[in-house]
Amino acid sequence: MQTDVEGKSVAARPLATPEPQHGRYMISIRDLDLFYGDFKALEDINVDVEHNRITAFIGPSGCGKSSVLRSINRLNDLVKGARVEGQVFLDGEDIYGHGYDVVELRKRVGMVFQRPNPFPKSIYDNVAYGPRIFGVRDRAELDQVVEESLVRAALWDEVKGKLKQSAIALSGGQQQRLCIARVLAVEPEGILLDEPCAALDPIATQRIEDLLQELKKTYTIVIVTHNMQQAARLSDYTAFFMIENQGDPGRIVEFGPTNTIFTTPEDERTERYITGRFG
Amino acid sequence: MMGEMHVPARSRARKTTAKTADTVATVVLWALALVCLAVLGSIIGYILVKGLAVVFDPKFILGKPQAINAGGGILPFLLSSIYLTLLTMVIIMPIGVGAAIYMAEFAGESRITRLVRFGADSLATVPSIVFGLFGLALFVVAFGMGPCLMAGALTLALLNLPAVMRTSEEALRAVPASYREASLGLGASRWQTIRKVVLPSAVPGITTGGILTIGRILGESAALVFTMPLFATKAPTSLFSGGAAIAPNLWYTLTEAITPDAQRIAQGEAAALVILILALNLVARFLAHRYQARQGMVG
Amino acid sequence: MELRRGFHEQVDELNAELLRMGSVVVETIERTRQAFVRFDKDLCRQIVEDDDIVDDYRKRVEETGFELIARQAPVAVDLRKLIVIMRLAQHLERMADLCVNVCKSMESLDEQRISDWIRESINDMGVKAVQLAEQAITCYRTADLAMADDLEDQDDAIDRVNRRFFREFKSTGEEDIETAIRIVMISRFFERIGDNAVDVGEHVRFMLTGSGTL
Repeated sequence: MQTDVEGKSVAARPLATPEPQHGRYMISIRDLDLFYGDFKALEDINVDVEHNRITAFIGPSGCGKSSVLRSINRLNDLVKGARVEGQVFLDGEDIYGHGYDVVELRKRVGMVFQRPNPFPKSIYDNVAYGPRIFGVRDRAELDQVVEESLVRAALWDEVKGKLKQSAIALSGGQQQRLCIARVLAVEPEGILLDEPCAALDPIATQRIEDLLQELKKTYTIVIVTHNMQQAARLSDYTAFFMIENQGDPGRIVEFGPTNTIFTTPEDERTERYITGRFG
Repeated sequence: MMGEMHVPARSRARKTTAKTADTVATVVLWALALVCLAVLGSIIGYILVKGLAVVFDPKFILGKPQAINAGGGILPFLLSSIYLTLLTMVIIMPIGVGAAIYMAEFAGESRITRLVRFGADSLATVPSIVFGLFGLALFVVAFGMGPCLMAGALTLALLNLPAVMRTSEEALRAVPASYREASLGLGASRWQTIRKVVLPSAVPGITTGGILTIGRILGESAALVFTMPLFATKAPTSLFSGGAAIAPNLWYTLTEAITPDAQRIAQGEAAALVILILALNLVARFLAHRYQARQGMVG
Repeated sequence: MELRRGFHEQVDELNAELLRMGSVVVETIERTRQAFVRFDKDLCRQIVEDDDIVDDYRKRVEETGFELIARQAPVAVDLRKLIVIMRLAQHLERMADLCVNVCKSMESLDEQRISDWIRESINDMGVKAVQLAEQAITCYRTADLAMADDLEDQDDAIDRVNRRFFREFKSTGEEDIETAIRIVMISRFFERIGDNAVDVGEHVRFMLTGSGTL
């Protein structure tokens, strides 16, 4: 018997349910396969991402965690030869369906990358970038969005006096929070984070984690992390990815409440991975 | 004994050899760098020593050229060179950068783009005198422009286009993919991403290419031999009027001119050219730097 | 700037849960004393029934502690505190179990056969046990090392009463053997409650100083 994050017991969730449940889940990935040219990178991916929860993807390097994340806001479209089979539902609508508005999708589901990648612009212009793209011109309105986003990203106090300075001058941890603020400025519903702390020191990492705990009250969060402890500390649900043999596609071995994954995993491979016995 | 680590004799010897090799390499590399610097310094030094006195003569720098008598000035040449440079840059930058954007952002990797790139690289190695002949045949004769500012500018544009395109393309390619991802991830379209993120980030690289081009335009003579007058007493008054640029005139003065002070004029022109190139370089760099600072590109 | 706020809040919550469990257990000991003194068998049955509440507390505290250790990788004082919280839950639950044992032992006792001095002595032990349990929880709550160390001295009083039963029963022979055995057992249960309180004190010492018995 599994329990969900509130401790209420729920029936063990099968990895593949034919019909995604709408309402409870913001994102439902169904039977997703991903190809890069002839290479099958992912197979049979099924994940449900619950609203206002943190869902973590863990697993050894190269097992396709980031690819799944990038297929949620169709950033894989940019990779030549990348092809997706299966479905990804965002609030019940298949984002790979015909005529789906990718720009709208990316606005609703923002992305934060492994290395902080602020634009070589001022702090202000970085945060205002998204709103400007979507046609906000009014100075007062931009000022407000910038301030609100920086406050929510827990960066305002550190930068409020120097918004016109280059974002490049910030520390790595500040840059990453700036990137989060930049995503928040377009008012997304979900935030995807691809190993957001990989390039940060432990204190900066902890600050990002605290921030995400705060943000999940308002946003739905999916995070890819190499750091198992981070997934354990942070997430409500965890999906464990693995590649069986060299050249095989990545698959999800186990997906469930983080409590279960880190205290009594069902799959032996999960247990061996999280206890450091392989990988 | 304290502090004495036992090091085997052979290892100690190897360590010493490595240290010596390191010192030798450092000295040699330093020497080579000094040689380069010395060659450069002596050329510029020679030109300036010979020419500075001439350049600082107001009658020379602001005077009117003389075809036969001594005491001619070079102001029209200077102005022609500046006009020529500006006109060429105005023609070349939009086309070159535009083509570079297409190549770097849209074309992708295909047989055709490889061909274009190969063609551009090959063109860049074609001797400029060949471009001069081409300009003569096309602009001067076929289009009936005659030798004039526009004919010279178009010829120089053709000559430098491949290099501008290639350096701009490299500058665009050097913009981290993470900027593009960030922008697209925020919902920006491809064109918005290019216009607002990629292009501004590539400006320093494109500027560097532009500065090199300016130097080449100012210093170019062979391509202008047939497309612009080699000597003129007036600066061009319109796009299609004649006018002689400094570099080809320098060549003309030394080989064809019959003025008694041809040697002196050539020395003055050489120094003026060096100074002009240096000055335009500095201005371009200053503008680029200010742009970067305004954009918040530097921390 | 405080980091890991979420985790520290969870520890605080767990701490509060343990303190709630503590007051339930103290109350249980007090009710057990009253049940014996008043010889109230209904109350006894009630106490036995209510033991489930304490068991649930222990389960919740331990599961949460287990989960926090697994997921948050606590270190230093956080680690000591979590381990000690889980230990304390165990001791508190055992104290409640001892109360249940007292109540069950009373079932087959005949009130007529219990003389006043027995009643008084058990009452003294009950009062002392309540006091020890309270002190144990207080020294944990207030992180008072002196109070924790004092528990062992306090416990001597209970031990003395417990030993007295042996002496008395040996010398008088007034009571029948079954009553005597049951009374000795009940006395022994109260004495064990005191021992658990002393153990709590030792754990608190470990939590505060990092040395001593865990």
